[in-house]
This record gives sequence, structure tokens and C-alpha cells, in this order.
Amino acid sequence: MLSRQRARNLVVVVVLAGVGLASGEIRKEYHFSVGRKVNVSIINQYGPISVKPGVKGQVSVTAILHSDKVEVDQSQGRKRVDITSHLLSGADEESGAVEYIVTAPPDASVNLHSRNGTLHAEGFHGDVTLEGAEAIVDVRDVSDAHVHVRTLNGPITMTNIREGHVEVTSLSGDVVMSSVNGPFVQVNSNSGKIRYDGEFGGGGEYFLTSHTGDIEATAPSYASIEVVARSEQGKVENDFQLQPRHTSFPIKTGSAFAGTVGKAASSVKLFSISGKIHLKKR
Amino acid sequence: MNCLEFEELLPEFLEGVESHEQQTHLRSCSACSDLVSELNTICRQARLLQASDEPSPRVWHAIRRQLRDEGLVRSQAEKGGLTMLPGGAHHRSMRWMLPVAAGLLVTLGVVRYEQRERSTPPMMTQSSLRGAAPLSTGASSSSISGQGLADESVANANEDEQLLNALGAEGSSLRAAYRTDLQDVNGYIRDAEESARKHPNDEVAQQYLMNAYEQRATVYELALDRSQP
Amino acid sequence: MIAAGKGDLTDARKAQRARFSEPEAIERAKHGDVQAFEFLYQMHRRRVYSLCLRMTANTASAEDLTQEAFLQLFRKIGTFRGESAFSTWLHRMAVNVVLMQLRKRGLAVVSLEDTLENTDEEAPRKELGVADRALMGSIDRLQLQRAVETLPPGYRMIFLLHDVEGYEHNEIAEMVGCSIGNSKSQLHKARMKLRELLKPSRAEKAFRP
Repeated sequence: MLSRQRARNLVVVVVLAGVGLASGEIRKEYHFSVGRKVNVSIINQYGPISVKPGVKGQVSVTAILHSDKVEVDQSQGRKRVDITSHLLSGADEESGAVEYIVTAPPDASVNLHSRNGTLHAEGFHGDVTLEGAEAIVDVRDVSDAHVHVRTLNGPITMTNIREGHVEVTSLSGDVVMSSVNGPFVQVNSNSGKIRYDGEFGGGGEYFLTSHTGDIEATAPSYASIEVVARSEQGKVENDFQLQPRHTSFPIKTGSAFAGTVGKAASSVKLFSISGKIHLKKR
Repeated sequence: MNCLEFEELLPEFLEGVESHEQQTHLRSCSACSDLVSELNTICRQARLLQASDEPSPRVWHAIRRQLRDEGLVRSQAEKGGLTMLPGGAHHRSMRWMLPVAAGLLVTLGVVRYEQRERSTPPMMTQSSLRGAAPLSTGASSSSISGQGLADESVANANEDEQLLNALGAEGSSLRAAYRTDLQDVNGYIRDAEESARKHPNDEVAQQYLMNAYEQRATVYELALDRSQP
Repeated sequence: MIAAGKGDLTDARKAQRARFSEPEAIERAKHGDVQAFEFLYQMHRRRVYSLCLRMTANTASAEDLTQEAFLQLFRKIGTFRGESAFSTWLHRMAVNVVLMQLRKRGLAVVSLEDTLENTDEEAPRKELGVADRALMGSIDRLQLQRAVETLPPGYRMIFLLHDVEGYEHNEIAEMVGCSIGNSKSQLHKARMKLRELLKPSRAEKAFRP
């Protein structure tokens, strides 16, 4: 049993220096044998991370280090693979950057953290967590799993996310969601715009809120939603014919609307302090 | 005793309530003997299922966030001031306490706002009542209790300056970016409080406030938290 | 250059190694120490999560229930006086969280009082006089896990609480709101059902050496 464990944890590290790389760059490859539902965590200071599904039973990591002022620490636990960029003395945003290209089994859950660079994850049905102050986030094709995204100023794009909880916090980065449906979808934005184009499906709860960022939600004519929208100082528009419903606050025309479309299976709340809100019909 | 009668009493037998008749039957009946062995095997092997799986890190993140939102965790600062150490060590000491303090902002900001409005004791936990850092919502404090808000504004600005100083090694453009972020979230907090004043007991206004403090906590965490737990 | 073996952890991760005993962590958690909370979470997360996962057979639900159980624990930790083991206290809370969730979903936590007629569909077949040695000693955890997932919810709950988690029937009866007799009978049916599920098929037997 023990030798099997050791064999399973075998890590193969390949270091290639100078092959097809810019001067000073170092390429390293790591391969981990893993079981089901492994958790893959990549903590990077600077640089992009891309994670896509690969073969079952294996996590493969290619790290391109921009200089020798950064190291890659890697470890494997029973159900985890942890990769961390470790800055050495004198490293800065350029010299400390690492580019990660990773493949993992589709049932893996993925945690990516990088201050800048693109964080890309696609094709998983394990939880996906992406964070970074300036990171540009792109997550797509995730089903039956939770998606959590936190950025300050980087834009966020989410495409084809189904059947899980989605929670997004962003300050100034725009948030664009296409075909994002699930039991719970929440976006908390400051000045970033929120654009949602989807069905508001699944009988879920959808909360899209901002401080000053505009909110534009596009849904099909057959959508089944109970919607409440309100902007304290911004304009509010609605393309749907709503069956009116009671709210706890007065509905001021031009600043708020509330009602139902179809069977009102899902709950949609669009709130902004001074952003414009527009519920569009596709 | 036949097999049917034996199986009728099997649940008690497996609990240790054995009769002489049952023992006799077992000795002579291989089918019932096998049945008992198999059920005992299942019972023994069941323990393998205890603590055999592990939740994703997301669960702890969510718990930690909620604990902060509810004011159930408190920062090092409340135990006796921030630890100001020279150079990089200052950054490392801040790194632990500031996200926790930032998390307190979410709950205490809302609760203290309500306290000012209603002049009733806040529903705070015992831990959050012990010397929690005062909060402010930003520079403008025209509407109510100007002195109180001004005090909190100063305290908040001090916290923000400490955060920016802790990032001193990171470069001026990065500090400028975080300074802008803090201005944005403080502006959101101001406007959210204004909205709450105009619409007391309004859930939407309360939600704005919660969202604004959540964003403030996110700025602190992402500014300082280099690695996930 | 090729190297094999595990890499080193960063200093940050090494620093996160546990520094408390459990009683210390509990005391610190009462005073709002987030690292103490984390220590307690890391110590007990697997057991709580495994219970939730066995009951719901769904990782997302199990994680939500785990989160809720720990949050309830941390909210009430100030009231813990050490009358029972901390793990017992936590575990009870987790069980209650799961039970509440199942009730909300309208799922039967346990079947009706024991009558063969009522539970005919679920009751395992009696195989009297059939010798079958194939099961003995041949179950692994994964097989058992899969079999448990297919049990009806009532059987599954009692089996998990008694055989997996080690509760006594009187405790189970109190938690799930049934009689001790019902708890015993459900457990027996669960084990019999598992025995059926875990037997290899005729086709599998044919290929055995």
C-alpha cells in the first residue's frame, strides 16, 4: 500500500534551459499522478495562469520563469497539488513573473491566484476560484460546481457556467457573463459595468449590484423571472411587459421597476446606486 | 430453531443479545453463519467511511469570510495596538491582522451606522465589542453627528495609510492603484450610508452597505494576502 | 536534468503548521482568534464533510452543509463548557444540520414504523439457506461508499450514524425523531441491503480465478 502511494506521488521535473525561450527564461515541467477530485492550487505573484482539462489521473504543469529571481515550489498531498511562485531577493514585476500552463482532470477543483496576468480556467466540473488584484479573468464551461472570482481592476469574462454557485466581486473591472445559469449568481461591482446575457434559468437567485457601474441584463422573451430593479440616481429601463408585484419600497418610474415574466421561476435583483440599469429582451 | 426464526432475531443478536438457541443454530447452519459474518464485515468496514473525504479550500474561505462578516473574529490590533516593526517585518505583521480587521469593517460598519441612526445598543458579539477600531465612511460627514463621523473618517484614513505604507516595497504605481481602489470603496460606503439614511429599514440600502464593506475587505485581502491558506 | 520527489513548501506554508492543542484553540476561538478557528476547522473538516457527503451524495451540497455546520459551531463556541468532547459536540451539530436540510427537502429521514408491508420495495430479499462466501473480507472503501450512496435515505442515515459514526440507537432515536426499535430495524435492513448490493454478480463470479 505504501509503495503504491509513493509511486502515485511521483513527480517528474524537467528543466529545460534556453530551448525556444527568451534570454534568461527557464522552463520547468512537473507531472503529478493524482486520484479523483484533486484540488489544484497555483499561487503566482506575477504572470498568467491557464488551466484546462487534460488526461484523467494526471496534473501537468509547465512553468516558464522569466528569470532566476523566482522559484517554483511544488508539493502534493493526498488530494492536493500546490504550486507557488516564490520571489527571491531583487525580483520585480518583470523578473518575478512566471507563466503557468496547466492541465488537470476535469473533475479537479482549481484555485488560481495572480496579482496580474490572465487567469484562465475552462472545462471543469470541480470548483473554480480565481483571484487577483489586476488579474484578467476568463472562466468558461464549468458545470455542477461553484465559481468564485475576486479582482479589483481586472475585467472578468464568464461563459457557459451551469448548475453551481457563482460569486463575483470586482471594483473597476467590467464583468461580462454569457450563459451563466445556476441556483445562485451574485455580482458585487463598484464602478465596473455588469453585462449579463443569459436565461436567468434554473430557478435560481441572481443578484447584480453596483455602486456606479451600469448594469445591462439581456434575457430571452421566454424567460421565467421575478425581477426587481432600482437605481438611486441612475436611469432604469425595461423591455419586458411585467406583471406587477409588490415591493417593500415605492416604485418610482424611471428609477425602479418590479414584476414577473412567465412563471417567475427565478429571482433577479438589479440594484445600483448611480449606475444605469437596462433589462433587455433578446 | 430454523433459519427464519434466527433471522427474525438477528438485529438483537448482532447487538450482542444472544440466546443459547441462536448459538446452537449458528454452529449447525453455515448459511446463517455466513450471513452473520458478512453483516459483521460490513459493520467493521463501515468505519473506513469515516473522515475519508476532504472538502475543497473554498469551504474554509467561505467560513472565514462569514466569520468576519459577523464580527466573530477580531484582529491583533484589538489586543493592544498594531505591531509596528521596521522594514519588511511590518508588512508581514500587517499581513495577518489587516484582512481580519478589514473583515470586521463589514459587520461593524453596518452595526455602528445603525447605532448612530437609532441610538440603541448595537447587536454586536462580545468579541467585537472589545475595543473595535472606529470606522468612518470617508471625508464628507455633513449629514449627521459631524464630530462622530469626522473621528471615524480620520481612523479609517489612518488604516488606509497603514495599508499603503505596508505596500511601500511594491512600487509607487501599485500603491497609487490601491489608493484609487480605496477611494472608490470609501466613496461607495459614503453613498451607501446616505442611501440608508434616506431609506431607513430598507433592505436594499443595507445590502449596498454590506457590499461596500465586502469590497473594502477584498481590497485589503488582495493587497496583502500573497497566498491562499 | 530530471529530478523526482516532492518539492519543498514555502516558508509561508511551513509557518501555517498547527501550533495549538485543541483546548487552547477552543479558548482562543472563544476570543475571536481566526487562526484558532482555522485550526479547529482543519482538525475536524474531514469527518464532518464525509458525513455530509455520504448523506447527500453530492459534493456541492456536502460542502454547503459542512460550511453551515462549522459556522453554527463557531457562532456557539462561546457556550461550549467541555461537558462532552468537542468533536462530539461538533458532530452532533453537523448531524442536525444535515437532518434539517433533508427535512427541508421533504425527504424522509427514516421510514415509517417497521412493517414489512410498508417497506417491501426497500426491504432486502431474504436469502435463506443460500451459502455465499464471496462477500467475506472482500469489500473495499470505494465499493462500500458506492453501495451506501444507493441506499434509500432512511436506511442510509441510520447506517451512517450507527456503523460509520458510532452513535448508539438511543442517541440516533433522539436525533432523528424515531423509536429505538425503528432505529434498530432500519439499521438491520440497511446492512442487509448493503450485503445484497456488495455481492458480486454472477458474471463477475464466472471470471474469478
